[in-house]
Amino acid sequence: MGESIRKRLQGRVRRWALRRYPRSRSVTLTQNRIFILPTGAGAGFMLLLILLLLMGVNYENNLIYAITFLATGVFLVSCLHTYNNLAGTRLQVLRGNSCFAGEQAGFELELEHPGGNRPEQLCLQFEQGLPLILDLHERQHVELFCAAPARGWLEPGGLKLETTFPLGLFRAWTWLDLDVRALVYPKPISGELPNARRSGQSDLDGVQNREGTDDFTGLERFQSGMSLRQIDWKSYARGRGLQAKQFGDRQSPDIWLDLDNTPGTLEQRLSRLTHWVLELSRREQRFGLRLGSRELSPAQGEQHRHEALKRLALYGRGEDT
Amino acid sequence: MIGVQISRTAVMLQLASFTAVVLPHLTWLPLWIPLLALAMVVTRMMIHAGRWPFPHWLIKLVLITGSVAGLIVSFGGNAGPEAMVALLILGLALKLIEIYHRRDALILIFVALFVLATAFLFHESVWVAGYVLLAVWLLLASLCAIHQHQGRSDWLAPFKRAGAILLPALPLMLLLFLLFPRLDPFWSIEISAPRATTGLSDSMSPGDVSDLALSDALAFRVSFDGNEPPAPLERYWRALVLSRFDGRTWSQASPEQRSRLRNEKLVSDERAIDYEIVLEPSGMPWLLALDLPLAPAQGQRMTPFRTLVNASPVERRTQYRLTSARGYQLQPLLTQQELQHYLQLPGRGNPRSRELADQWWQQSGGDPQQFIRLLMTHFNREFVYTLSPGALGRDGIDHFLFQTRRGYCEHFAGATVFLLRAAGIPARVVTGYQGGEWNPYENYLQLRQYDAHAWTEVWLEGQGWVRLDPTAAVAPERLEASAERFFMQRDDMGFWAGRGFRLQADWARRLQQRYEAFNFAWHRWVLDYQSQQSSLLKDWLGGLDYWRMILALMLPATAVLMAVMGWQLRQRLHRARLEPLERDLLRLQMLLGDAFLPRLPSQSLSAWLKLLVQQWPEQRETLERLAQLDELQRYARQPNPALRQQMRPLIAQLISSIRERS
Repeated sequence: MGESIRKRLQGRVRRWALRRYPRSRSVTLTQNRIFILPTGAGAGFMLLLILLLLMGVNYENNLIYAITFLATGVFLVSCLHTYNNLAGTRLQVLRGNSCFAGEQAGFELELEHPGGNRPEQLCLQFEQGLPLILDLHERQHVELFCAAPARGWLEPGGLKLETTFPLGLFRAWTWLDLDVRALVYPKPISGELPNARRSGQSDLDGVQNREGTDDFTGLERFQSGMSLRQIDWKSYARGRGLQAKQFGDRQSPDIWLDLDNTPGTLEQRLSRLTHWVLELSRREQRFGLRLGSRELSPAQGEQHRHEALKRLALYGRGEDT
Repeated sequence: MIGVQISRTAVMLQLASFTAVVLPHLTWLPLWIPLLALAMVVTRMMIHAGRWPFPHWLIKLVLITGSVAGLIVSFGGNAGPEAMVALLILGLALKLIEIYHRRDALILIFVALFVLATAFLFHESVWVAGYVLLAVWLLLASLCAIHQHQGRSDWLAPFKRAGAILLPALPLMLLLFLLFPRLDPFWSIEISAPRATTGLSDSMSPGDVSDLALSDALAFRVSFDGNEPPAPLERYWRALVLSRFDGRTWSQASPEQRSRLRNEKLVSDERAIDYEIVLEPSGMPWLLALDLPLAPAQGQRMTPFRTLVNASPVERRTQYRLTSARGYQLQPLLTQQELQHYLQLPGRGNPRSRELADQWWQQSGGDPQQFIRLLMTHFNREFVYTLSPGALGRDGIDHFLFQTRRGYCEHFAGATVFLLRAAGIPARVVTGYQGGEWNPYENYLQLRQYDAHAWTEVWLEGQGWVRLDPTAAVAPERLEASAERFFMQRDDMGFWAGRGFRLQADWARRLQQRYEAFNFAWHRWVLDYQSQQSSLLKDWLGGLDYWRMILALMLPATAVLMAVMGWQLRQRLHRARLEPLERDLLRLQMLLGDAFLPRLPSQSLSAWLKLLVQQWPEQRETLERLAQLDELQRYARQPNPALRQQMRPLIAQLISSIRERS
């Protein structure tokens, strides 16, 4: 009952607080952004104050009155301390890190507090995210996670900053609307790539046999499962351990990943293509991506991989950027 | 956040808090409770050290049942405050072995704070108050400790933080203390069993008062309006009137006799004196009043013979205001019944004394005044005033008058009344205190048990009851100075027997007086503040009504809270000023904003600088370098002061060149 009222109140405060201020990348917490109310422990403390007062009155004991009033003063002053633990904190959002759907997207923030007392036990949490509790030092770089259920741009929603430090009798909190988003790639799902084709050919299983045996390209550490014929015995004799000779096709044929040629629903197809973009990038294979009418010409490298994933993430979302 | 585990420092602070809270109760707790508490502390420390596991629930059950049984045995059906506090302490002790989460620790600290406050039910001295203040600090520190990061292990930080909270709370406490109206109790409370105290008893046998003289315990303190005490010879504090004599012991009139006595009529002149008495607990109902009180204070009753009785025995320090007449006539007329009552003597015994009374009555020719003069002269010539008079035989008064001739005030008073009655003059014994020591530091008169005294009142035709103190005839110095000083000068061994080392040097005496004055002030202004409150507030606020009190409460409270806030804000601003890079950047933004284009709130510094490049190509290199440095330092995983330092000369360069331009 009390909990649900609190939830509802919090929700209302959140909506109101988020409406009041425009989205921004950098915020300094001031008094008109911070809310403060007693916690459950604070309510318990007020009950204790009443009991103490009753004892003082009934025993007509002025020293008990005095300790009651001292505790009252502590209660009030602790309210200021809790408020001050939050106020003045400067928060700047740096970037949102990409992730795959179903994971947690990380948002990098920088926190800083110019004041005398360093805020302690600050709790940061996105509405759909995991709480992060930290003691703030001079200037701190943190990554805060938020659930990313679906591909596309993820806007993390309200960020709640709260603290009950130092006595836990009051909770000071604020809601921030941060101007940041993270790209969520489709969730990769492994599977066959039946319709992959090399450029110029219609259908090939060359993907599996991408490692040729023709041209020596370099050495790598021997791992079990590799052919014994690949071992470079000369370097072993020189005491460099077991090295395997790597051979590759000098010009690997380009692979096209085509949405239309992938089975399943749209999301399943995007997921499967995501898997292959990752897999091919890992194998350092050139590949192209064809999503409907849009094409990404075959290439290789980090930049290319990112571009491909971005296109998959945003396909059909009506946003290109 | 309630289920969070607490740090090891916090656990130790909890143990310390618990111990600190139990300590003041050791004076009265049944021994097994502190022993059990100690066992629990040790158990928790062993758990803390990782040597013992958290106890099995069966052990806890046994402990709980055992504690409840122990409480029932120790306190029985008496559910007074002692039983309540003992129960709370046991609860705390048992809770101690389970503190692990923040919630447990919270409950422990809250209950501990309550138990700490109950210490004031048993002790009210300023030392205990100081101790409790320190204990509150400790409790707050452990409350801080359970809210700090659980990996933190420093001891100092919680104490510092708690101190920073406690310090501004002190003026708030003072304010509330001064202004908060004192309410009447909501329900009546049984006061616990009386403590053994020394004081006057309701009867007087030879040796009773001199026994009291061996005690230097405080009896009561008096402060006078206008700080003007009555002259030493007027300082008679009456408590009881003893009019019945059984041959050895003087006692009060029986209730049945009392019903035949009328309330004595007091005719007083203009001279009156107002004063306030702070009476130490005596366990007896009678109160003290300066001869002679005009009316009883609230909750008191006046007996027919102008002594005051409290509604219940005085079990705690009691404060009351009285007005006494300094010139008076008491009961100018006596009825036959009254006359008979005040002439009563046992049928037999002390024959030689009776003979002596007859003889003097003849000599004085039937004039009571003359009779009294003979009596006093006799005492003055042949008697010794001493605390060690020696034992008296069966006919005590004969023995005293004709053999030992040594006595303390009760011997003289008893013998005087006996002789007067034997001669047919109505008389009675009055007991109380006489004299007192003036404390110049706090302006009050202090009476100790050794100031206990017995004197007589004699009824004379046309004058009523007149005070007659035979001690004045034997040892007039005793009445001018306090008993202590008197015996000190006389070096009476009886007075010093049984008392250990006592400060006699002058400076030591002054020091002691200062200490006593401090205690008295503590009592008046703190322990019994309610009797001062209304007049004090009236003086300060110029009247007592709700809006004045609310205003008086709100204004300074707000001021204190504002001061704390202001101080915190100042600290923030102070730190902000100390950040030179930020200051330089602000200046740069202002200047370049005016000259080219202002920085939008949503723009990062580097984005804005890059835009500026197009407008101010001459400084391209500097602007780009600055933008690059800013990004580097801002996105660095760790704060990088070196990068920030490199930015400053660039900013300075930009600022000087923009100035040259304009």
